[in-house]
Amino acid sequence: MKNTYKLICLFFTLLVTVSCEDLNDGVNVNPNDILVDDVEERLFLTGGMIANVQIQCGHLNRISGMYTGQLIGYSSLYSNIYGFNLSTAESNSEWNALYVGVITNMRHIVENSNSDQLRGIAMIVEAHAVGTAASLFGDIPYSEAANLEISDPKFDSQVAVYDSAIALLDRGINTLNTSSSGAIPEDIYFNGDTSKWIAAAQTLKARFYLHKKDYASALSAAQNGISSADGDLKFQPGDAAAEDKNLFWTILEGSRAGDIGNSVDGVESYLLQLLDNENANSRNHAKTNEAARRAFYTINSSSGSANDGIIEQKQPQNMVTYFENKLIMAEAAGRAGGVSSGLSHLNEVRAWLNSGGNLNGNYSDQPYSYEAFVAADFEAGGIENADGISAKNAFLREVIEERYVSGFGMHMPYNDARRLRKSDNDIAVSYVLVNGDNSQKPERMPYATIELNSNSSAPAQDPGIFTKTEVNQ
Amino acid sequence: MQNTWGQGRNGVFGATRAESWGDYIPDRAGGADEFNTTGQYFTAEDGTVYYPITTKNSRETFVESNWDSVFQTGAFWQNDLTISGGTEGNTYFFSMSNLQQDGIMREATYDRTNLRFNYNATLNDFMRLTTKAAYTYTDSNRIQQSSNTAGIMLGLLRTPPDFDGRDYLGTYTSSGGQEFSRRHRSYRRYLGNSANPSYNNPLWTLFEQTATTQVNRFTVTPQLTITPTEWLEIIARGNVDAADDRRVYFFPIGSAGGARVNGAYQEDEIATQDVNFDFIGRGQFDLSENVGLTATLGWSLNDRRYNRNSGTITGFLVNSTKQTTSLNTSAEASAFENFKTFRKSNRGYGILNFDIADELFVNLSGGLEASSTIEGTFFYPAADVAWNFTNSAVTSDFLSFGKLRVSYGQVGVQPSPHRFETLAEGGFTYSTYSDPLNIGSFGGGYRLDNNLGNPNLEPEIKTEYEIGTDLRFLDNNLSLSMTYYSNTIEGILLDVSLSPSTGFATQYGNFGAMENEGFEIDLAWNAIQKEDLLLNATLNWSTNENLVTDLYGTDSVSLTPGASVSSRAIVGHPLGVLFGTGSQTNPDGSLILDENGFPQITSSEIVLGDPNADWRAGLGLNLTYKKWNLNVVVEHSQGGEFSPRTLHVLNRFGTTQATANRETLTQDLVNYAGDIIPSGTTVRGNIKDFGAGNVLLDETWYRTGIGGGFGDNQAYNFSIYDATFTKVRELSLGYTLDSPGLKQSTGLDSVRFTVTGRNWININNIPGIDPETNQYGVGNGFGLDYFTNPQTKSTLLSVAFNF
Repeated sequence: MKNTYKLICLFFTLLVTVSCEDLNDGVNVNPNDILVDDVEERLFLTGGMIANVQIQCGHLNRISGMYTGQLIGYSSLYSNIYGFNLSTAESNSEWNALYVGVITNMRHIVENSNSDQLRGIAMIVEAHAVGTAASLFGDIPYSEAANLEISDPKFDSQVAVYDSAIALLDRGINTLNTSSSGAIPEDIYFNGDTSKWIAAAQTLKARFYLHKKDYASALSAAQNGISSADGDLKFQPGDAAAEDKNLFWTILEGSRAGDIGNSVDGVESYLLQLLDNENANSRNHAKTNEAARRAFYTINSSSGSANDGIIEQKQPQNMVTYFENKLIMAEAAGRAGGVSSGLSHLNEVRAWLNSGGNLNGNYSDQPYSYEAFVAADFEAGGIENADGISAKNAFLREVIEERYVSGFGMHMPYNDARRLRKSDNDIAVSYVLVNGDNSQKPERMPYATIELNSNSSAPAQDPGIFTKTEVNQ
Repeated sequence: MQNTWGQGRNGVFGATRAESWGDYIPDRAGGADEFNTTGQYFTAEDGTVYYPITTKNSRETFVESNWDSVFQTGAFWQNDLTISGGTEGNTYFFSMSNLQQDGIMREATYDRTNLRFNYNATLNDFMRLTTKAAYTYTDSNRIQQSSNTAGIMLGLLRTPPDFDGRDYLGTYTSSGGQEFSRRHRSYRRYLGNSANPSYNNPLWTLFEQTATTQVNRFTVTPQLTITPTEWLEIIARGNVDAADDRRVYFFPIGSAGGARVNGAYQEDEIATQDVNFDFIGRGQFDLSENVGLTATLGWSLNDRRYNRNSGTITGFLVNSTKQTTSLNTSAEASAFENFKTFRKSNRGYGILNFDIADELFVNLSGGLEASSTIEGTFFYPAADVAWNFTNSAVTSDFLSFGKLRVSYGQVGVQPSPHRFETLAEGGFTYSTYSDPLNIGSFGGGYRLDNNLGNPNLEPEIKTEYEIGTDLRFLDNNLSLSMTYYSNTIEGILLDVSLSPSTGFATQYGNFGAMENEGFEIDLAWNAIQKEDLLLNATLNWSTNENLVTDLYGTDSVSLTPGASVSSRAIVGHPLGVLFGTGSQTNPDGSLILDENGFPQITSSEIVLGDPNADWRAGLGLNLTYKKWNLNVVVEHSQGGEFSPRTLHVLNRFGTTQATANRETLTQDLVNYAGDIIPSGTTVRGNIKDFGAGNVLLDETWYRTGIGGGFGDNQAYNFSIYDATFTKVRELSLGYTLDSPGLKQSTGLDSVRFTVTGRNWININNIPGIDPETNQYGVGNGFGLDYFTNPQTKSTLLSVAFNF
């Protein structure tokens, strides 16, 4: 018996040490996805670009349009947001698109690719996204972001982020100046055309300088910016079965029909009123006829397919444009040297408008007219200065108003409104939110819940949408 | 559901509105509606023509008929055959069963056929072979449900009372005379004038869409038992469980929801294969006169494979319901996807059972496990001691048996497979609000997988202590068991949200810890035991307290992503608490009201309620009198909270009775928009006092304000109800017919007739919704429903013939 005893105890201790790890070797290798190192860097570019499209043209962009009197939230979530019930949950997708979609993947390209052309493009895309995020949210994590060693990145000041974005644009420009320039099909914006990329990067620098109110630097960057509408950076919808179409069209075509638009049952947004000849707010006069553009801009909210204008299924969506560049120059030069310095830039934009630049094929046969201005139009009593303010302010007011109208669908009107609110109210567009609350003005988008929830360096509570960001204080 | 207010908004009828905040139906002129017959119209399949409505006169309501067109009394027919027998050394068991069921929704079907054969063979003096084999075939058609515009309940419950949904398919003719066939007529598109119905007409969901599944499953378990000596037994057992599941999802052109509007056809082929092998040795020893030992040593191997192939056609060129890939022959429309998982683990273990003087039982066990999903091996010990104290220490006439037991053990749960690495993933989409951009539509591409890999995964380990007693009284006729347990679970495997600014959205890992503490009582009583009359009663009662103790830095983890009210793991709260925006409150619980006397929503989400029950109890009674038998099972759950989001969101749509109240005001009241409604006005709404005096809850509160429950920024504290319920789970009456005459004439030993009612009685605090519904099915998140299919009550009649 005693021997059996020992045998049992021995057996027992032996057995509990037996379990073969070797039998499991290699079983847990993921059979469904590929190792990052096996994938060429250029294949990461498109994903970052579509993430950037959402930051520029997605939900928060529609909200910024509502908050500047261009769109109205008629029903459901958009009507709640129109009433300033904007929760942190609404920023989750753009925040995810920025960090997970753009920054991580563009940095991967910059750090691993040996094509300077690809690296330069990736830098510019990252700078574009991060600068836009800084303009919308204020202080955001950037210097410590996308670094796996830091699990709670600190929030950098908005100005510091703008400066980093501008520096990154410069790096991108310098990289592209010496790189090759072949076609890159993964580049869904410019197909690899480096001269277009360099010009767009300069316009972005001008834009970010403008946000910081550094008008001199904005003007000098814009000199090298986009010089014709062919160089516009746009989101171009494609021909796939689905999920690559104009974003506004997509939401109205689905279950969000009727929720947002600018003209439903006769209730029109301020933007459309501005373009309506019959309306007291109309900007039409002897030299300006906005009839075609008004029709082009009018959104039929009942469904996406009811539209053939600005939100038509394959209508491109503006992100960085020629007219933006020119109008930055018009404003910056106008501020520095008055009407005579800025007028030529404004007239170049009007010439472009007069060639049907801000319309599509379905509307170019409707009436429109944008005659060139002369200095006298801005003198007291001229067609652009009926209320007798200074010529320079009348000119700047028209430039800002042109940015407001042409920039429909971009973040530009929202950025201008906030930039000018402190001390330039006399040249800002005095928009109203139709059937909305006009007693308070939103100044920023809320931080994403997903960040507040998991980053201990984030503020304990979101500062709220009425707190001014650093550059606008 | 209300039937007094029509489709529309602001008290005005609107035939394309999503909501039912229209005019007061009894006040309508009556008679037929007026139409515009000059332009577009819709022709239904039976020839009925629908024109655009210019004036809504009709007072007809269709709540009942719409409901009846969707629901039916479900029925099933089940036949079972069982044959068993054999000789002393060889026995067999054969059974065959067939079930055919029509569900409570029309077109929902479920058919199942089972075959089973078990055979035990004694090969010789010391070897026995057992083989079990089973085969199951299921074939069913399921109906789309839940938060789904092409789902059944969403379309049905949002339908206004004055819309007759019975004509759902037909031809739309435009004002220009162009005809569009197979158009979907829904309450938001009553002329079928758009290919997109917004929300499905529920009849389209039933009759046009299909979601079929066919499963073949085989299980075979051969086992060889060898007893070379009388104290040693060796078992070798294998098991193969293989299944294939073929699922077809079909949405014709015109089905609601994103890309489905152009038609969608998907076929999944899922193959699973589980192989197990066990090798066990068990020996019985007498260590001394009083001490016996049973020692078990075992080794087991487990191998699981899963493979799914999916083919989809998105967008049909032909408007047909034939399920074929020819519906769109272009390469862009078709996609192929494959997903596999492999899991392998093996475990060596030993168990020692000591029996001391037939009174003290000590069990010790330990297992060492290696799994492909973890690095390294893990050891799991367990021990328990039981003292049968009535054996010698205590003797009593009243207490016929008593046992005290204490145990300790550790068990582990393996992580999900293939989570070690961070890889390049394709197939991703960026969407900010119903506006997806899919990488596949831009020529394909990759990104760094936003689920960060984790090479350091460990199993989730539960350590539990338990103390209890089993007592029997009155000659073992009354038994009582009581158990107290406490456990901690470390390293809970969760997908936690990382700070997105790190560049990754989630990481799967051991990021949670939780503890449970509870008490259970089981009582069984053979109350009456006479020849003709038997009565048994059972009672069980249990309570469990759970607390999430650690989430390793994350504030909360959502168990139900994407919901406006979610069920979450939050440190300091039980698992599953309901989380969403609520109303601002003072520390004493009273609401912080705005200047009009209305609540205000909290700036961020808060804990709204706890769906865990305080305690649960079950009562069973079984009464046999001569040949009759009555069985009753009652269950009660006390406490816990539930958010019936379906009910709450229908307030926004104005289809609930709660929003249909019509009152003439006896005082001036202010509504949520700040307008003062004068005394004497007849309004639609409810008068409520939140703490600062009466206010009027009207359309501005329910539809456009924070009281309606649609989306994220709503006062969801008003959607929380007490989840207490009492259910009579089963009530059955049976009669056994067994007389010598029966045996002589038919050869039957007995025939047994049973009538059973299940869930006939259901008492709870939530109007129209059963608190046991779970939008998320089997999982950790619960306490929520959102257009989830309803529970059923049923009546069964069965006849069993015994030969």
